[in-house]
Amino acid sequence: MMISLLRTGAFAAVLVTFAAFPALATEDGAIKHRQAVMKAVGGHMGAMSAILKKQVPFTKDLGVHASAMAELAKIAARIFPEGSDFGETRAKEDIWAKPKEFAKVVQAFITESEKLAKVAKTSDINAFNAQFKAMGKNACGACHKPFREKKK
Amino acid sequence: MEPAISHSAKRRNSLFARIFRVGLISALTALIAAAWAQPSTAAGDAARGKYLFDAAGCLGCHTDIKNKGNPLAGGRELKTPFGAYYSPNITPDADSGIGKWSDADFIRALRNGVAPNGSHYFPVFPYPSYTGMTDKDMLDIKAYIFTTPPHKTVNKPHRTLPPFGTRLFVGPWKALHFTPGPLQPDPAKSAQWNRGAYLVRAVGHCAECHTPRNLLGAKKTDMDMAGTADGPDGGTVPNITPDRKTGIGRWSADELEDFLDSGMLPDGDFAGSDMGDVIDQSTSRLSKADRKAMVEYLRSLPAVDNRIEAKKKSPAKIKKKK
Ligand code: HEC
Ligand code: HEC
Ligand code: HEC
Repeated sequence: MMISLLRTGAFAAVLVTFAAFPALATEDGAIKHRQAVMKAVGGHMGAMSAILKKQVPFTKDLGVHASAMAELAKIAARIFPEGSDFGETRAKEDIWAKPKEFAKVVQAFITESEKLAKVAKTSDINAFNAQFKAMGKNACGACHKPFREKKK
Repeated sequence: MEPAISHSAKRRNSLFARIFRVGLISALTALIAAAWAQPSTAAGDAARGKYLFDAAGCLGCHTDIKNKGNPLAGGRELKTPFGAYYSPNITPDADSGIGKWSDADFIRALRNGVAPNGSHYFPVFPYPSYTGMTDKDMLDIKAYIFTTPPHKTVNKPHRTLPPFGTRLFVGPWKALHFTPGPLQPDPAKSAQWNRGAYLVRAVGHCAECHTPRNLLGAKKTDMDMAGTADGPDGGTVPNITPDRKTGIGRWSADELEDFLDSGMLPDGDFAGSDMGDVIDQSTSRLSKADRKAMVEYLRSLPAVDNRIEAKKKSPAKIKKKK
């Protein structure tokens, strides 16, 4: 009796572990993946900023970063799967509670980054600078303010 | 002949005389002050006021944006370790707002943290910073507020823990931790530095969030702008002193100016949360010259070595999936 109880218990525990683990793993994975994508986005942003501030002479690379950004913007909508507010993340629940408002900033990111990639092709540095700022404000800032939790 | 007056009566008399004299002098001073303030009272400049109103961030705190409240009609929840405070209606509505306030009422609120009925305001209203503003700047802000539409919205009562919920507690607190009066310029420093100090300290009230507080909620003066892991809503607020390791000492002046303009950090990340609001509603709306002045002042602050780390979440505090 005792042994069979134990055995069922152990079996149940194994079952629970199996059942819970994949779910946990994918959600954790989704968070890690999202943060990695956002780091890449931030990386291109930081690189462009250093170029625009003339800290480095790579003006001709602005186009590379701008098109990478436009490509990354297109996957932005996919990096917020439902349920991925569980765990070590700064993504706010409002992302899923207010899907319409969230979709708006995702779209703003796509539109603004496409514009930036286009301006990059004209080699008009002033126009590029202006669009760089606009993207920062209307995409990055506009999403981080309502949808990213402060560090706690 | 010796006057028929006792010694003590004489002394009392002279005491009365002294009180009378002091009273007279302060009445005269008040008169002079009133006469002095008169021109600016009459000519509160609303356009200039709007600029300062933005720089001071009045709108964000006095608007319940989350619940789509009317501008300046109050009701925004401000969470603190002492409980939740709700900002009041400061629209020019005569009954539920501040429509009946005189210029003197308005100045007293911002300069001294005292209400028209004489009670003390809680220092969640950042008057410990605003006290540094000039009378003229305060009255220009009032002139602007009085051009905005009135809204009838009744104030919500605060939900705070004793003794922090009682106004009687605020008097002694102020006696210990609050020095009223306009910020005095430092003649040894440049005009730009002084302008920056005025914008950072008095108007922009950066220290209200960026300086850590002790158990009584008073700012730790030796940790000026050194950040805290116990900021508003329990979030962290970074160290913005020029310390190279733990503050923003490695940022260039350009990078700091850009940050106040657009919210971009030197590593390409973007500020969100409270600072996103400060940038949106205040610093990005200032002139380039004013942002430059703030940067000059911030970079002159004493560096404080204070690493701010997010509190490690205990498993219980990690958000649970619903
Ligand atoms: C649609 C919303 C949205 C947009 C647009 C957006 N972000 Fe983010 N970003 C987030 C969220 C949410 C997080 C927090 C992710 C987490 O912790 O799981 C984040 C995190 C980050 C991080 C930190 C990554 C880490 O974990 O270290 C950086 C850097 C970043 N974003 C940069 C940018 C930049 C630059 C832009 C604009 C070019 C941008 N983001 C646009 C929502 C957005
Ligand atoms: C950090 C949030 C915050 C900011 C910023 C702020 N206030 Fe307030 N204010 C409050 C709170 C909270 C109270 C209520 C204090 C109390 O009940 O003791 C208050 C009270 C007031 C009052 C008193 C209203 C009454 O009915 O008694 C006035 C007037 C006022 N604020 C004006 C301003 C102006 C003008 C600015 C900008 C220069 C400003 N506030 C910025 C939070 C803020
Ligand atoms: C309402 C609270 C609040 C006020 C007022 C405030 N800040 Fe901040 N500040 C923050 C928070 C929170 C952050 C972190 C933002 C984030 O994590 O996205 C921050 C970030 C910063 C940073 C970036 C530092 C870093 O290392 O990342 C700088 C610089 C800064 N603030 C300067 C200022 C200045 C200058 C003022 C006054 C004009 C000011 N702040 C007023 C809360 C505030």
